[in-house]
Amino acid sequence: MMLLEERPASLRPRRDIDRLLDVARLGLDREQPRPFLQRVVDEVAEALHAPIAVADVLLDDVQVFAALHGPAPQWLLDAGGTPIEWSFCRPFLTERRPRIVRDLREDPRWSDNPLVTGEGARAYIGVPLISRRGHVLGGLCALDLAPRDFAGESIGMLERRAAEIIDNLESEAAAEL
Amino acid sequence: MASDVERPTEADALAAIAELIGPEMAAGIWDLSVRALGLRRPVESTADLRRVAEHLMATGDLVRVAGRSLKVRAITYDALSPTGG
Repeated sequence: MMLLEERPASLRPRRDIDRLLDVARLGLDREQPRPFLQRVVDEVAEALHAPIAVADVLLDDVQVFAALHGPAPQWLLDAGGTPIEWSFCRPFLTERRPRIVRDLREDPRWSDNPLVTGEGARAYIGVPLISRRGHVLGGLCALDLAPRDFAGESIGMLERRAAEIIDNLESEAAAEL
Repeated sequence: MASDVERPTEADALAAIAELIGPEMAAGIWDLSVRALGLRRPVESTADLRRVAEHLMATGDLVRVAGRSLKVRAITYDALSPTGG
């Protein structure tokens, strides 16, 4: 397979291709309602008292929203995602650790992000979504519109909900085989 | 175990793909896949036909991902550009 064997230098690294194939295997690039994920992000937002919660998927150069809770401008809903460089969960591709940013506007990595400067995102908490094959699919996260701290057990709660999401996605994929 | 399942052939596979995406696209993508795998046409063994099938499936998945990405970027640009699309 050329994708596997005869790889021109311009192709992405093999691990990225494998990750994207895993995303596709689970159907996460498709535009479709996902009631289970929607319920999870609704409950995450409520549990964290956050106005916004998202299960996002990292494609090749965009993030797409598998489920979104909270207000969003119409263009963002129409697009169903953003360029990947705007994704607060993008660091999970290289650092698979939960992350909290108390004030995105004070963090040089994020201070000029259009979702911060234009849409008002200020605080972030997120954990990676990692498939059973070990690939980072995206993240489960919550955002607030004011700087804030998150309670100590918040990360653990998000990790449990992320595990539920993976179980659900893997079960659905297995059922389609 | 006796079976009346017919042996798959390249011609049948190409015809099936052509019914879905047209003969030119089918011939092109088949030819490129066979070449990428270092095979020769006609692909005859079922093992090689299976390799071509897997290549087509993976390629289709990745093209779908790239298509979704392009759509998000195009909508975002149109929404945020002062002049729009």
